[in-house]
Amino acid sequence: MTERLRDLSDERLGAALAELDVEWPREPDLTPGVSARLASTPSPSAIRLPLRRRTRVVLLAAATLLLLAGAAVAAKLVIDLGAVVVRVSESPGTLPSPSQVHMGEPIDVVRAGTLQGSPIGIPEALGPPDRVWADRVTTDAGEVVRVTLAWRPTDELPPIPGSRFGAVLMRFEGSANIAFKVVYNDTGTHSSAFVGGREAFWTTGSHRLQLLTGEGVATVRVDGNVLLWPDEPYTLRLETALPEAEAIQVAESIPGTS
Amino acid sequence: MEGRPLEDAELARRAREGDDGAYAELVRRYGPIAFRVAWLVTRDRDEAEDAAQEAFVKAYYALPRFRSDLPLRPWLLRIVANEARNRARSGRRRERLALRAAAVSDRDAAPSPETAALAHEDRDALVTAMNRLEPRDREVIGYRFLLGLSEAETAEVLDVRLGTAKSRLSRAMQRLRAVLEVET
Repeated sequence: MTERLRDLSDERLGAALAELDVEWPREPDLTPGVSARLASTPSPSAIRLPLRRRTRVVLLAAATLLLLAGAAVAAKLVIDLGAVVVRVSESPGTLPSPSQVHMGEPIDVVRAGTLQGSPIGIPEALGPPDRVWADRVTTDAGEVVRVTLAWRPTDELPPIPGSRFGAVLMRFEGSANIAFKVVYNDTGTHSSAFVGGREAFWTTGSHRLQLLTGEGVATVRVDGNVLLWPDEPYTLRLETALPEAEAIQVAESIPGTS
Repeated sequence: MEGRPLEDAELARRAREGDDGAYAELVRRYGPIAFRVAWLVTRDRDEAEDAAQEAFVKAYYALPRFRSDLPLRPWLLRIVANEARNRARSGRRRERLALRAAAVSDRDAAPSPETAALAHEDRDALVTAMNRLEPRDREVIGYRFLLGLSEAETAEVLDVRLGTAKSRLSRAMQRLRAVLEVET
């Protein structure tokens, strides 16, 4: 009997599939669940702004945070740096335990740049990285590539707390949300900064990072210092144990940044 | 929302401006097909529901990026499919439900020519073959023929160019035939 099916043209076989009348699972009403999820997050106008406006929001948010912290008011702000969204909120009490993050496949830095569409800038202050990974991530804007470079600790580069590396630099492609950072008022600090004249975001202390990977979403507790800055069409994230000024020096040692 | 239903673009515009009711209307309008898109990928009811809900949340935040001169449905469904694929890849291994053909009922008393030609055994063979396909092939065939998306919509939901979608569908149909041959 299936011989006849096999002999059908694509059009006729497609028509036969269309007539299959598949028994779908009962469709749930998504409206209440979507409404509940939306109610627990801010309005879209606070989230997706053109990049220039978004970066201005970083400064505005930092200034607002100082005011709010002074008044001991719970802050809940969202800052969009392109591929990385930062939310500032109250601590839930205990931070989630770090989980193993799949950074992608090992790759050489040249191929990683090819995958992402332009050469990867290596911070001259750090030299060639010890490890390079690339991961393909499917986002609402399509498939994008995230590249991660890592350097082992040296005398000048202290280890990142809880990590075997002294510096980790991620370059996110595109503006889709690939990482979501939650900075808690009582365990971390956050402020605006500048990298090569571009507005940036500086975070110290324990916070949480939710990272979209090729294998799903990984939640990590971050204890290092993190510098985030946009370099269109990319967003860069540098994690170290270095103080702010030195981390900025590392970032600005990437050719074309300063 | 009385009178003539509002166009998608108008609902999207209102939702962007903070009209929660407008967005709820879009969720009601496209929730069922969004769930089916997610289910085709995950083949798990709970996971599909969760993926579809999360996708609608992401779509809400992405509305300012949506070009109002383009159709909303494939744009929404692409977000749903991406969310479902991410979950399917995330390593959670569950028992995946298989596609099933609905029981033949009285409404088949006046079948279309295709239905008339599609004997009971053929239906079983097709469903079995669909379930044996690789997820990637099942997805493209499912979008195009089971959900009735146009070729252009299928391409957008797969996030590939139209030509790529057509060739992917053609290859998937070849593999469907190959599976049917093995079953003979």
